Amino acid sequence: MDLLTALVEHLIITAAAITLAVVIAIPLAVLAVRSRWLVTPTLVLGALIYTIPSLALITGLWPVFGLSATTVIVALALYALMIILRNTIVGLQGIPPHVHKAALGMGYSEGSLLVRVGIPMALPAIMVGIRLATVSTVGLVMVGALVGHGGLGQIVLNGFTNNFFRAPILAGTLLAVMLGLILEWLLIVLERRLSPWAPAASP
Amino acid sequence: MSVLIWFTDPSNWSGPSGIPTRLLEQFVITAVAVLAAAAIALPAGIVTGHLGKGSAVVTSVANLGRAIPTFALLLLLAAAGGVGVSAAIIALAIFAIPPMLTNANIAISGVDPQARMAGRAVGFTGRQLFWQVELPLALPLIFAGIRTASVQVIATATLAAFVGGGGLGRFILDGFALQDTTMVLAGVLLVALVTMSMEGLLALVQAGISHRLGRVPGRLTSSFLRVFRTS
Amino acid sequence: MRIRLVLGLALATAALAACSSTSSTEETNSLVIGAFNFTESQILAEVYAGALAAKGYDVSITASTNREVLAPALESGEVQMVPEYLGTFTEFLNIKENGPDAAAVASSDVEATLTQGQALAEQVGVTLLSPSPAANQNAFAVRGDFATEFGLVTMSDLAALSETMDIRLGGPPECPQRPFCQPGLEGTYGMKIAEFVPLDAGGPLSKTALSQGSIDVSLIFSSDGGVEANGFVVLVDDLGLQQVDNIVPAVVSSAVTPELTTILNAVSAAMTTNELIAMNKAVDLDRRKPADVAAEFLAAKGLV
Repeated sequence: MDLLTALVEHLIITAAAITLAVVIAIPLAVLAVRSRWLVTPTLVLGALIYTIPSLALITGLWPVFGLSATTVIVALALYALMIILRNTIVGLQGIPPHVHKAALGMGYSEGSLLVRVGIPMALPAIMVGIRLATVSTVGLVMVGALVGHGGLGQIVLNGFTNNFFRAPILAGTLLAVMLGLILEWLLIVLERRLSPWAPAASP
Repeated sequence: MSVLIWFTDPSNWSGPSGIPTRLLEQFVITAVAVLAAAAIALPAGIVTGHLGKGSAVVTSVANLGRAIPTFALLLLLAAAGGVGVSAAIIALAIFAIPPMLTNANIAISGVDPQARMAGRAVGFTGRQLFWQVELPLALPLIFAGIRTASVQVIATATLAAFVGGGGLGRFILDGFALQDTTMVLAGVLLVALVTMSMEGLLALVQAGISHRLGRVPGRLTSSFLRVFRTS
Repeated sequence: MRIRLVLGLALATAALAACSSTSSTEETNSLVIGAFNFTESQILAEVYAGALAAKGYDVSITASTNREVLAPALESGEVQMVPEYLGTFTEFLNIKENGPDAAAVASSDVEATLTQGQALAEQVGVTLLSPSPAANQNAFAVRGDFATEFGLVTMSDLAALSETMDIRLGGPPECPQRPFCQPGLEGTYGMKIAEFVPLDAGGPLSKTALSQGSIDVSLIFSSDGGVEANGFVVLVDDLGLQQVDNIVPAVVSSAVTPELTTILNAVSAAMTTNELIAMNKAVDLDRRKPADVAAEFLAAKGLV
């Protein structure tokens, strides 16, 4: 596998995992906050999944999805889900009471209030979550090399099994680190554009 | 389920590839890595926090540490000549430094100025101020850093198997190589149990410390998600 | 609204990712080759891939760990071809289909083994093509000074030594279950293995562990390019435990066409064990890329 193919695969897996996580996390967060009792169990379940190291989760999903990129994407989506979910819930729970009352007064139902008012207000928190999740995911993709889909991790592992060839191990590692930093910077820029009213936040 | 049967098989509990041996390997690797990291991170964090200088360096180190994938670092170290346990320990120690460093730094520098003023008012010297005021107040947060690092390390120590270092990751890798789904799932289960136990145990210790030394307001965030996955 | 735009883009990305991550095997000129996680397998995959690409095929290579993982992928068609090893693959299928106590059907006769292998492979929907003259037997190596100190030349010598001394064996995780690995050493040679250390199949982990002295004997490939460089001694298989392990393309039967067979067989026929060793050495020691070494070989043989 050459460096460019690996980089592209790395990007695609990261993007797919984050997208999947966002698509599940945000509706799930709305649901959880809406039916309040769901918040704690959801967060606890997520925390439990999060303690499982990536090697274990990816190989744990291998019987289900096989030697495919899907195995890696689903595993990483589960980790990203946890971060984004938590941030979204915290963001949604932070709607000021007077805003809440005003919206109810305007005729919003609880549910649509969460979606039409809550999510935009929670956007800074959600974006921070997406950013943290993305940096984390970029590192985790490498472990997918075990099932043949590790992006830059494949370059690293191939170098390792080929008589400890250090050049690709270094190249793959450095590229992955740079990729993480670049994506983080891009997401910070996106964060500021999408929610210009929020103060420049850092985790 | 077949996983339960696997756990009741006595041959899996004995010998150099049995559960006790692998558990011990995982613990030893974790302990050495965390101690080594603490020996570096805690003094560095405490001193920079106390002096109020070098926090930019601390932040940079922490950010960089977050961006380096431990898996890659592990393979790099092993290829550089440390096949076996030593590569795993060094990689994990490096992985453990950022959370302990950051927490120690913030813990000391964030000590309530009023407490410091009170200490000075009572006539404490700089040294006494440090040992009797700052350090005790900072201890809960410092310990939170140790706790985060320990849980991260014991989970990530699973990767040691990649470079011939033993540990619970062996069940996962060997099971994968043998297409033995039962072994893989058993390994996953063991790792999850060990990680959660470590988290629970240290949470209790944390509660004990906080109870005795007073809670640090606002800093101890919820017990979920202080582990930051990069591997 | 901005959120809708972002979400829309995100969903599009996910859709694209989903499309690109499924291997499309519907087109007849598209092929996925599976390779094991050691240098030689990657070189072989590149050699076959290069020959196919030159004839207009769209080839991709999937790297994986070992036969236990790759064989099911081959049977299901997830990968369409694997450069296999005749004897080992035949016995692997034999045990899978006839149980762990099945009598060995692979032997030191290439033709006989091939017949057995093809019959077994057919039962799982895989076709074995013509074996290459190039072969890579499993072998076992010890450190040079260790061999000199104890006068070790053959495997029987090591077996005798194991009676009085702890011998630690290093090999791939599946070694304790492979008939030509640990069970073969213990059964045929009566060797006493004090400890088995799971490392890799004759790869850098095993070789480093052997050099460092964490193991005493390691599985190694007879086509390994670095035996001399590492100061290892390969022990002679005096009781003939190892069977013929010629390179043979294993193709999922549904993907076999006369054209494919011709191309692959031509490549196999052109390879010799010495050339394989040279290619391994070029990648392992001289740090050349498997794809480059493969391209050079194909050009020299007029296969592109």
